[in-house]
Amino acid sequence: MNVDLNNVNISLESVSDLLNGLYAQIITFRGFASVFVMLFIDLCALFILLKSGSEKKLCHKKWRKEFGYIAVVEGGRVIPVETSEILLGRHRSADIQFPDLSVSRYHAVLTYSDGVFLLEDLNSKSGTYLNGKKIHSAVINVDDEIRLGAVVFQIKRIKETNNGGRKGKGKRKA
Amino acid sequence: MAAEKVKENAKLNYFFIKLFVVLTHIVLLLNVYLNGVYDDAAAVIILSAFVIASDVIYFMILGTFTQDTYTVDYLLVLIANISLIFQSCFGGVQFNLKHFITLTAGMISCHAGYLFTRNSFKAEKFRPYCYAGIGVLMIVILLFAGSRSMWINIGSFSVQPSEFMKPLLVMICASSLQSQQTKKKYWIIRTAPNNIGMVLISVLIIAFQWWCRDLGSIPTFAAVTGCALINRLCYPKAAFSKRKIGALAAGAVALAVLAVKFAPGYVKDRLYVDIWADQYGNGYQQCRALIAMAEGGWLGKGPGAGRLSNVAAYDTDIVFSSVSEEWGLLAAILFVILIVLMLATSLINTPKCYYHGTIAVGVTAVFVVQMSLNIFGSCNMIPFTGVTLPFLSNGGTSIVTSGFLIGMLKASQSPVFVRNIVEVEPGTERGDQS
Repeated sequence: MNVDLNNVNISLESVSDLLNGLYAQIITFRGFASVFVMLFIDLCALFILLKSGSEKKLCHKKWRKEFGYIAVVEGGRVIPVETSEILLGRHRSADIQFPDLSVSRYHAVLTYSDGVFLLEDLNSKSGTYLNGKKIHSAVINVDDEIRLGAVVFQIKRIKETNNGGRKGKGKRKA
Repeated sequence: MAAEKVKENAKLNYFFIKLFVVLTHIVLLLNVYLNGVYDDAAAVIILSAFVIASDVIYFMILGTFTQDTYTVDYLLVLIANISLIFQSCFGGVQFNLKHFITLTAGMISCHAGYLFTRNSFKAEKFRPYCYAGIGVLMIVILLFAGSRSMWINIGSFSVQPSEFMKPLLVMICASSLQSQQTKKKYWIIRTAPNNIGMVLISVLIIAFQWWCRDLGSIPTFAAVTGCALINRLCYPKAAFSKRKIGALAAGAVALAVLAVKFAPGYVKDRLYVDIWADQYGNGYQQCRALIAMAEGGWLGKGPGAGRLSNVAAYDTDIVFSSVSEEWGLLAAILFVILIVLMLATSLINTPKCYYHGTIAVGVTAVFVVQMSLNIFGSCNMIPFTGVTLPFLSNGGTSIVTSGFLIGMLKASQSPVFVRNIVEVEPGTERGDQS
């Protein structure tokens, strides 16, 4: 590969000129004032972003407080519920995957709002059952038995450990 | 419930954020006072009084709101008053009352957007009204804007009703998991009913914009629809199908090629113009904008010392260059970074429901495309489109719409999960979900 050193020199000179130009602009009073302005804007943005991180933690706590430590328990799997809408199905892209042929690819949606869980069937082939009764849409309670095709699971309240973590933290997918 | 929220939020202290926002504005105003070009110091004093007073009033009002997060609000206050200072300095320091009023309207609109969309269940029910709203706006434009124009003149004010279509389209494109997955068969396609409506209304809007010769807005609407289509085709959980995305990209490229081929003459002139060879024709604004940016350098010529204010659209379409000239390229880039940070807050505190996630995607698409068109257009990296830079460009409709969109983004940070569920015995099927 041929390298034209003359061009390299030119580009280095350009960078040097650029930096010299920037330096010449900064050392004036106006330049110093501009840099000071930008420094303050940066600091302000940084403060706000740091606060955003604290807000995230607080929101998480509030979510846990309102939601409780709820999990979907199926066989040996314990899957904590983290969002207000959860897609249940056989497809690998479902939020909670049940790799069983009796379960439709996207079988049902579990929705949480105002302290209430709602289970809605997505026109699945094998149907959704709550405590043995076929449903299209129903309010569910903790410990109710839910069946999607041949898969049976429950919504359970899991215990909180002393350090704020959860017991039985399990994988989302089998 | 509300009292509980206040109690929880009381744990976080926003004093230092408030202090730094006010200090940042004071430092900017000091720079205007020391380095600015003005005839009378009273102009700087009036500007300072309005900026600091509005900071304090916004903070007092924010204190009455019960939200989970406030970072978007504080960033918006910071951005709004920086924008007011920038706009008041173009071509000589003078308080820009019109921009102050529109920014205030934008702040109110932001809270309206938040209240409107904070409850995803209720917001989703507004979707039919969003379709109707777009229809009404189109009729209003046809009746009152005159032939092939998007502007309605009311006295000394001009309104661009098509701007209001942006939040409406974002709301149409947003979807809950349940409505996205409830599919029906239409002829040979099995899809959710809302997908059909979303594509049809987007095509209608783009065709309407084309007819009205407001081609600059088309990429924004196309981006919102494109992002929503990707969400719907590929969700859930990043199951991005290469085939689907490839087909979508191929379709977009084909449409872009057709658009260029059949574009009106004046648009083709802008697409292929050599701005330096046509400095007093189609390349006039871009040449002046680039020269101004070069003159401004890294740190600017000083507030009010710019000459770009003699060029048309200096405070709207080429506002990025105007800021670069007076405050420097670094300050202009910093302003853009602040807007990007505001959009990025939804990555820090991720939305808890799918509807708000899709809203955040739509709002980000609008802002990113508009900012790109404005900035890269000013820098001659893409054809000049005449799109506003959110919150910085002078323009009431644009600021009010941008405020509403940011309110929708805020809703994804502080959602309310309340749904009017008819109480039934557990395990019993519900008949009504309203």
